[in-house]
Amino acid sequence: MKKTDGNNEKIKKDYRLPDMLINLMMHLNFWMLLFILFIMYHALWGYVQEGSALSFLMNSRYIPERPFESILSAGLLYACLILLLTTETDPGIHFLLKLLAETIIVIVLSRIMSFCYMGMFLMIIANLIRRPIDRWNRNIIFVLVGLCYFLLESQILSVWIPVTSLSDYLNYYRSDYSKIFQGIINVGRLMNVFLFMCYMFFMVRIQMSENERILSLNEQLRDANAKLEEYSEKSALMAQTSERNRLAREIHDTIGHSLTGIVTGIEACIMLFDTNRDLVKEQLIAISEVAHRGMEDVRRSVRALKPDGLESMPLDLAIEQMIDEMRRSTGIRFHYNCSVKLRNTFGEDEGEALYRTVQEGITNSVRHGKPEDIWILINKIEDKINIIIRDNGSGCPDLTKGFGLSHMEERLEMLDGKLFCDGKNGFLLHAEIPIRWGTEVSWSDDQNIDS
Amino acid sequence: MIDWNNHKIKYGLSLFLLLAVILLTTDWWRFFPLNQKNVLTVGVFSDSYWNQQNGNQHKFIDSVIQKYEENNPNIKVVYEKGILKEDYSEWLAEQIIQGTAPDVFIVLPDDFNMLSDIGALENLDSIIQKDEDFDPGIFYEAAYSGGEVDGVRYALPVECAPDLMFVNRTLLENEGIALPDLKWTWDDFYEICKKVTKDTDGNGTIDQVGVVDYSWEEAFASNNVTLFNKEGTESNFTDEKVYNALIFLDLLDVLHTGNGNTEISFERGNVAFQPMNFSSYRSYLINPIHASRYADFEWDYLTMPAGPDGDNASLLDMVSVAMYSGTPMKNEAWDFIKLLTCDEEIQADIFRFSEGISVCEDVTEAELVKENKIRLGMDTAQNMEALEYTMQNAFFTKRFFGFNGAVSAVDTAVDDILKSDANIRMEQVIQARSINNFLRTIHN
Repeated sequence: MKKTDGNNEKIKKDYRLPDMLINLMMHLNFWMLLFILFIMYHALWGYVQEGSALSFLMNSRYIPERPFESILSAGLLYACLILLLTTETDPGIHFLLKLLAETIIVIVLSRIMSFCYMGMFLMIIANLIRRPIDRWNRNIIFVLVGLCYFLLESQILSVWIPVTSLSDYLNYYRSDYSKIFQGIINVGRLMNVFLFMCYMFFMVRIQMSENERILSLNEQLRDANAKLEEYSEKSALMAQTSERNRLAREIHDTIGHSLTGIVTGIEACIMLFDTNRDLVKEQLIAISEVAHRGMEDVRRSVRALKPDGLESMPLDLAIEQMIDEMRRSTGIRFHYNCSVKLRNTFGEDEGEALYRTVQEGITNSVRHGKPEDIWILINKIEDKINIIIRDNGSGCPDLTKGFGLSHMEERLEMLDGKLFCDGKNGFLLHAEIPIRWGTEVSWSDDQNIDS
Repeated sequence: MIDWNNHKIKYGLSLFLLLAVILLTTDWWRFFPLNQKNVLTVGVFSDSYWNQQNGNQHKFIDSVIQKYEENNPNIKVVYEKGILKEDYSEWLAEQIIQGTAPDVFIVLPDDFNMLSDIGALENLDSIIQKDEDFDPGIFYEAAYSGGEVDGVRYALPVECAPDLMFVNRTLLENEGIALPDLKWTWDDFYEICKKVTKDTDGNGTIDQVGVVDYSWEEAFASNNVTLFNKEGTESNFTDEKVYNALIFLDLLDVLHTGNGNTEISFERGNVAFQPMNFSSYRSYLINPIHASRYADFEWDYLTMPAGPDGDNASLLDMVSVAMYSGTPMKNEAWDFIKLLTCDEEIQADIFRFSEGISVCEDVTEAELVKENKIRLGMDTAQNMEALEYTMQNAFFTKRFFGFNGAVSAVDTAVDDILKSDANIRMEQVIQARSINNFLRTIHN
């Protein structure tokens, strides 16, 4: 949208000069009309005052138009002509009617002026050139209007349309004055033709530059097209890679998580086995639950690559269930504190990132630090969601990011988020996710449409 | 604030302007009953066409208007008073130029062709066809055909007057010459002239002549000469008929040695014949002062003598009436024209107020019978016959642009030929060239 507006403005700017020329032509023709009418009717008045009306009639052989009516009509018709000329129409019957009306008005005006000045026709032609008509019609119309113009300009029409010739009016004046008047009319006619030629010149130039612009646009379009093709190839490759990554991540997230839970649970069972069999049994039930869940996760991953917790229940419940399962399977104390409303707040990708971050953070802590307590804090600072997961386990003084952490980082980066880790005093994981507050609805709408 | 970019407003406005122009340039608005009384303007001149100052012209037109307004109570007829006949053509031209031309106007013979040429006169043919009451048969044919150009009718005659040959009956009786009959010829005419031309008192100068004022115009008319073509661009001056007329004029000229002598005139009773317009005759008849001058001899009128190639034809002078081509009130104007030309009462008024005669045959005959009773001792029956026969053969000359100039040119040419002793045919060719040259100059 913005781009086309810019184009229109550019076109308007291009047409500023021709528009000015047409304006000038309108002014010039108005003054010519006024001047010729003045000469004609002043001469008539003079003839009557002089008492030579009879000889005027005998010489001119035609009855001149009634003075008052023709001067007033000329003014009104000219106003009408200007109105019509400045009205833009779409091609079609309206356009033809308008053109017909303009032509008739100009012929009538020329007749009032004794066919001694036909410059107004050039205004119609100039106006025609600006209109977008298809080529075939345009040629026909040009031929017709041009024919009218030449008919009038050659004064052939005055053979059939009786009219008092201008020279009969000019005869009233002294010969030097009449020559000056004739000269002024000629200069006016030439000026009009000159303006028309300038107009045509600029119009042709605009047309040419427009053609050039279209050519260069075509070239740009071709380049862009080639780039687009290249890009689409690349993006297909990228999609493949990212899908592969996603699969790896899913496998790690779901199976890794379950297995970690199971391994830790079984280790606990082994330790408890001799002392408290009841507890072991309980533990084993929990482990089996985790294993089942893991199995389901895998199945689901294979099918949709989506965690069931998130799929089947809202985010807050999913996180709570995950923590509860973890607590039951590992015996670690979880301290969960969330000060943000999680339900229906985030977009799907954000929710998943949040869920995965918490899941991965817990898994990490359980797997590497063997802590007794894990603190999980979710809060909002400015527009960002902060997730802090801290444990009191052994930590990791020289931290190297494994597959899990780098994955988490990748996932967060996709949302412009950040990840900080500190393994010095227990393990501290701090994730920051900027949220598109308030836009998640439209986003999910878009998502629906896309899918 | 008006949105000037709105197409509908622009179209509406331009349509409104166009309508305004159409209303302005046509006279449709006259049909709306805005003004209770429509005004019909009439163009007339205030003095007599026949150059007889009688002060009656206004009375005549007033009586026409009165009758018209009685018949058409919703129309008011107006006319401008005080325009003299000599200013009338200029006045009419000014009105036409200024767009204030009267709806109906009197047309002088000199202006008729010019006015029809510039398109100032309405074509009456279609109106006449539609009007079943109108009967062209009531007019003298010569007068009626005078309102046509190329078969198109532009005007109707109002009043007319033919040229007639006036004869001194007493003189002829004294010489023992019988009064010629209606179909007399140039030979008869010449014989009588030859007989009466003499020196009665024996003092050596001729003091009684046959004819005065018989010019080439009368001779050409009687010899069926059509001197100019229709457009007035060429003359037929080398015609055989012209030659015969010139020979005859030359013969008369030889007899007329006493011409130019103030002692010799029709009024003094020593001239046998004089061509005179009928209006002049009527003027003498009506005016007692004029009439007294003819007291000591008896006189009458005759037809014009016929030439070898023509009839007893005489020139007809007349006044017509026409409708302005731009008038919006065609029907009203036509009613007025019809009243002026066809109404018997109005036409009879011509005999009361003017010196011309009615263009309606019946009216003229009835009125002349009445009028002839004034003059005792006149042979009414014969006079009526003479006039009737004259009107049958009279013709109205169409006057093209520059006609008067052309007539003067012919005048000079005939004068030159009669004065010179050279061969008349040779002279005809030479003079024809100069006349044609003149015609060419006035048409460029």
